[in-house]
Amino acid sequence: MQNNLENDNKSRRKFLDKGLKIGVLAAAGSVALAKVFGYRLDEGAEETVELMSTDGTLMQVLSSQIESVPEKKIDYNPREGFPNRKFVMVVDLAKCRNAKKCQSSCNKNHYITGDNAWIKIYKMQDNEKSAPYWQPTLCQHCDEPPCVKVCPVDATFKRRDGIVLIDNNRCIGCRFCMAACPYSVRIFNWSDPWQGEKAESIPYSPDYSGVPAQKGTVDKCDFCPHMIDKGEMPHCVSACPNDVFSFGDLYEDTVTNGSGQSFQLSKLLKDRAGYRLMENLGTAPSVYYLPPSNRVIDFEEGLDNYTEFKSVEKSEGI
Amino acid sequence: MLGSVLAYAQDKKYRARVSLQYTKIMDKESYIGISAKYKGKDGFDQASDLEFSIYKVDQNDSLIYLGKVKTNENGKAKFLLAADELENEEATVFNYIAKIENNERFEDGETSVSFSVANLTAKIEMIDSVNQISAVLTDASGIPLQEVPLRVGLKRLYGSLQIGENRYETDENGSILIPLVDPMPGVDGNLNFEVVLNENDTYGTIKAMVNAPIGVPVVEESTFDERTMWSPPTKTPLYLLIFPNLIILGVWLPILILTFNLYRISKSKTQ
Amino acid sequence: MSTDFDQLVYDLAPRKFSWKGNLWVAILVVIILVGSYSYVQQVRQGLVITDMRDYALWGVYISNFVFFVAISLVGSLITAILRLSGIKWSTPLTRIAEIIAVAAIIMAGVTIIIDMGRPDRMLNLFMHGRLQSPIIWDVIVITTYLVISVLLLYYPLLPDFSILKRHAPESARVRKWYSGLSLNWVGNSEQRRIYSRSIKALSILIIPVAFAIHTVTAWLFETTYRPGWDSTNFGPYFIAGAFVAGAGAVVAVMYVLRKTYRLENYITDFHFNKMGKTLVLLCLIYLYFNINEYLIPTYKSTEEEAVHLQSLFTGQYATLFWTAIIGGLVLPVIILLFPQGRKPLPLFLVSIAVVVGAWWKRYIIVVPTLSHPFLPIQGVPESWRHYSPTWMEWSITFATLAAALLIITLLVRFLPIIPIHETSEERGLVDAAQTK
Repeated sequence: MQNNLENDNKSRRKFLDKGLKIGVLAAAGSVALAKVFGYRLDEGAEETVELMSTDGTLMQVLSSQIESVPEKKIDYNPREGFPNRKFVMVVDLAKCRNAKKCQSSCNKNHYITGDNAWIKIYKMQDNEKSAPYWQPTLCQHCDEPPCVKVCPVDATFKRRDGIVLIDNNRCIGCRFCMAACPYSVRIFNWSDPWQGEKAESIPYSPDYSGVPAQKGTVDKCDFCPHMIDKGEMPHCVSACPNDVFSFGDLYEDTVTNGSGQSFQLSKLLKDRAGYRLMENLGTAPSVYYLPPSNRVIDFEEGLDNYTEFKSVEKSEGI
Repeated sequence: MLGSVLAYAQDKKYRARVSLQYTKIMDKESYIGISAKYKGKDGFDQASDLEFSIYKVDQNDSLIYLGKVKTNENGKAKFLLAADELENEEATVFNYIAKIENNERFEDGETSVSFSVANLTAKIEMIDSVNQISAVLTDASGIPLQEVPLRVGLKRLYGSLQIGENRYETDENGSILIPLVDPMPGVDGNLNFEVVLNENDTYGTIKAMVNAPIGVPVVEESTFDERTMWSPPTKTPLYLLIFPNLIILGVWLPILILTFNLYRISKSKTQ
Repeated sequence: MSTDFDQLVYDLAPRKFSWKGNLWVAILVVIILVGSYSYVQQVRQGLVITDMRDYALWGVYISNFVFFVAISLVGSLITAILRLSGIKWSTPLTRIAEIIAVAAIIMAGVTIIIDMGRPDRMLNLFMHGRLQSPIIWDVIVITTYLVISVLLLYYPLLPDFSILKRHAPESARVRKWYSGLSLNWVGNSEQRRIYSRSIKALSILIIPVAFAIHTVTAWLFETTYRPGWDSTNFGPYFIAGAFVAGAGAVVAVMYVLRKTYRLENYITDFHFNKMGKTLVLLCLIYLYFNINEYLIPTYKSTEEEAVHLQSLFTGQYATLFWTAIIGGLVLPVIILLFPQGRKPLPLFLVSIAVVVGAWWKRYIIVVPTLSHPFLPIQGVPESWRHYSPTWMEWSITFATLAAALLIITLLVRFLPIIPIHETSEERGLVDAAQTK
């Protein structure tokens, strides 16, 4: 019996000894790995800040996890959205002549540097005999969003006001949402997007997407909550020279175009036979399209601007 | 700094095309609205970030400097007039000038605007069990102004929705009366209306705001509070919480037992 | 005194590598190092080092991942299903199958991490995981399957380790490991009771988990709307394909090991014959699913499906598609229907074709669909319409395959490839040293 006890002690000591050696090696190894992968090692020691959570309990939060939120007029939770609103957009295909001002304004204001504009104007022709038309396509902010359903980490989310946003601090870059979206509106930051000093210095918040953008995460049109907060309309709406876009609140049954004209939404959709893209998929988009009949401007006017293999100029970062 | 002014020649300056509009919002503020454009490469562009000096022309035709204002990225600026600016009983017409002076990008120039003061009041009342909005337009001395076109709008998140006809002309009492028949949605049933005299040659633009809780309260229809397949993890559908977890438990409990069995084997008394 | 039992142990005990084994390990390590260099570049620069872009958003990494998940199912097939059916000829193959399964499922986990844009945020999967997401289901089932597979690998090793601690031609240190890992196995009635019940329980448990793991992986595609993926067939289709790939892998590995370790007495022509027949059966089932998957949509030819099928049958991916189907499925069936085809060497060659065909079949499932989104591809660089993996992507992929082979190699180095204990029981041999 004594023998066994001694043996046990010996083996226990040996185990601890081995364990310690392995532990030190692992620590050294991970330091080396961290250096290889370019992480700064002083990120380890972090301060904590004491905050009160929503149910009144005090908690310690790493100061690195607190995002300073830019000055907001209305105090609201970016994950919950504006109360008592449901944002919709109407795109009048009869007016679009592929001017691409929407795309350049969106690119500029979101400091988009890659080849991937968030709003694309497609040259569409439903079948051989039907008329061709230009279709500006942006995130549809679906009411049953397939992208949100499949996100494993709650990085993309749907708000109370209907807007679907992405939290680029949470996204793990699995791209499942991109595979799930039938409208091909999501883009990926395949490399480090250098967007210039201004963009990089703006504190990040999910409701001003892409500013700054993060490598290895997904981005898309956000319906510009940062503009809504200021009482203004999304950039594409204001930038369009032909008043193709109208934007508004479904509960108010009103949408307003870039020139400031307001329309009663339900009447507009009835009179002009508004429809939604890929309605049969059941995604319930928040973007309505007015068919390109009785065109205001000819389709051919847009052909000069049509670039099959690139989007419009990007912002100044690259 | 972003701006819609792209490339420009260092020596050649653009000529700005400026329009001024006097706007008064009753019981609130009055201002001179500036809209500046210039002829760019392809069509007109807004002249943003353009500074104007504002002067008032007094009875002796001399200029009184009031201040400066700069246009925003859409080429628009708003110069607020002080409340007592226009309380000079002697004058009936007021003149203001906006000047571009010593600007890098734009030639010097000046634009002027002149107007007289008028007042617009609006109210909502229930007549014959129908809500009606009424408005009265008078000049500075209280004399009603007839046959002046006004329009009525319902203020929405952006802009205002037209109520009724395009224009309503004031009658001999300077008033208009419009019934509000259709149900209109509003947050908590609150509706903000505006009666507008739009870009009148003599009186400028005058807006009178009135609100009343006669709207249909907005009912939120979002699924944000429900348990759906697109909710955050705090609102997982119950069947997903129950059945998968039961299955996982049903598989992992045996796994743990089987792992424990290894321990039992190792501790088994020999022979 | 050399008994039959001792002979058995001598034949089956793991031994040191010859120069050939060391060379093999060296080659694998080199491949892994090259891939690791590429991966470091990927972490630094981002996934831009691949040829994946906004349209071809999943590529070689994901098809590799599906391949690994598929191969890992073989553990449940050979070890569990056949065992529970009372089939005895598969006993010598259970260890090989389980080793392949464990190696494959580990590499499946590694491969999916390689595909992530932000692997540094992996913990988000656990801190903020959503049960609504098929990826979370996949994480859960893969972890579960890994644990069960390791248990199913370990349990039958207990008696083998106990034998090896006494008889193995190894250094004292290795024999100490065998001793420790044998968990005091002596073969008394209590241990045997726990042992047999546990293995039975594991065998039963692993089958639904194995089905779950590949069905859930299939759901990663089936839960999207895209033509080519939007199929109700996908779950069973993937499982049938997994069994084919796994069976092929077992045949390939068993041939190599038989030759290298001269195990002709234990893995005989009879075993090859049986595996050959099994492979034919599995291939026919998979062929049936392929017919359902590809022929009937052709009949309907909805707009999106038609474009997709055309690219597979006669278009951009035609060569790949037909080579994978014919070379990886049809020809093997034909060859294996003949007894001469089921002899070791021809069967080995056929199994290589099956495994390679299976890898490319997964590529065919993942990549072509992404070239045909619902809305036209316009306004993006022309190169985004095609996907041809970069050398770095290939080097990382080969590194994962090499890593899987390395895991198998290392396990083969230290574990008896054929279960000694079970074989001895079947042959009625008894360990003289044990009965004291």
